[in-house]
Amino acid sequence: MPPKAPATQPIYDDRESEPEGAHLPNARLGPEIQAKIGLQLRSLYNSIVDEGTPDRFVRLLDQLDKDKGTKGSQE
Amino acid sequence: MSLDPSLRDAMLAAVPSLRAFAISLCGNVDRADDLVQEALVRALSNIDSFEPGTNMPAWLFTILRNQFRSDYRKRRREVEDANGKYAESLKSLPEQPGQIELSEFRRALSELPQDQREALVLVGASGFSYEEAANICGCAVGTIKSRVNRARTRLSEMLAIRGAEDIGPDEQTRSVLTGTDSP
Repeated sequence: MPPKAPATQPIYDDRESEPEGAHLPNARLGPEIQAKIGLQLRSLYNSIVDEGTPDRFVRLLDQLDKDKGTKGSQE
Repeated sequence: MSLDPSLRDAMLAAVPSLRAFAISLCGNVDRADDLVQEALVRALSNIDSFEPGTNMPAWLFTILRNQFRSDYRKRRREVEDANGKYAESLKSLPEQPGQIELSEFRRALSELPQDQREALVLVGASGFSYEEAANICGCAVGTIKSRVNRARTRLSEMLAIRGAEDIGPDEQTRSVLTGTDSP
């Protein structure tokens, strides 16, 4: 299994802390549309996250690490 | 000296969300993967400046974003050309249930100013706090808050307009929205 991206925070936990910026004109967002935006944003984002870590990045890190190690031991 | 395995694992674990962020920045899967690659190369060569125990994803996001910004300045013209293709390129992303709504959403997202889009994605999808997002973007917390707000307002305007001409409220979606959060 590819390692899962760490969710550093519960996603979309910011709705309650909205009021600070909510003085903007037209910032009158119904809860339904807000929820919809959050849902779709995460759906789009997670469709990529769910692809996991492509092999090329695993190989890249291993290669870079090896190069680094080789260089280090030559010094 | 070789890379600490725990750092290696932390870097690899951050890749899926790093890719998602990169795609939201540039709107193109191939270019996003190149950005991720450049960020990892850069991160590895500066690994000594990473403080163990701090937030690896946030560190990598910062590197990737800086990379993207400097590329953007270099190839502004190219990016401007690509801007029109942003929504188009996002269509190559995996099919999802609720595809029609999602493609509307993608288009609306692609029309946001870049600052607003990245703030919204960092806070609303990547799960960073406002403070972390502010660090990643190198700006004040209040700036992030107002960008996120403006992004939401604009999206809601765009989606409301399109929703009205396109699709009525979908009962299933409605029940999902008013019910539990996760799909």
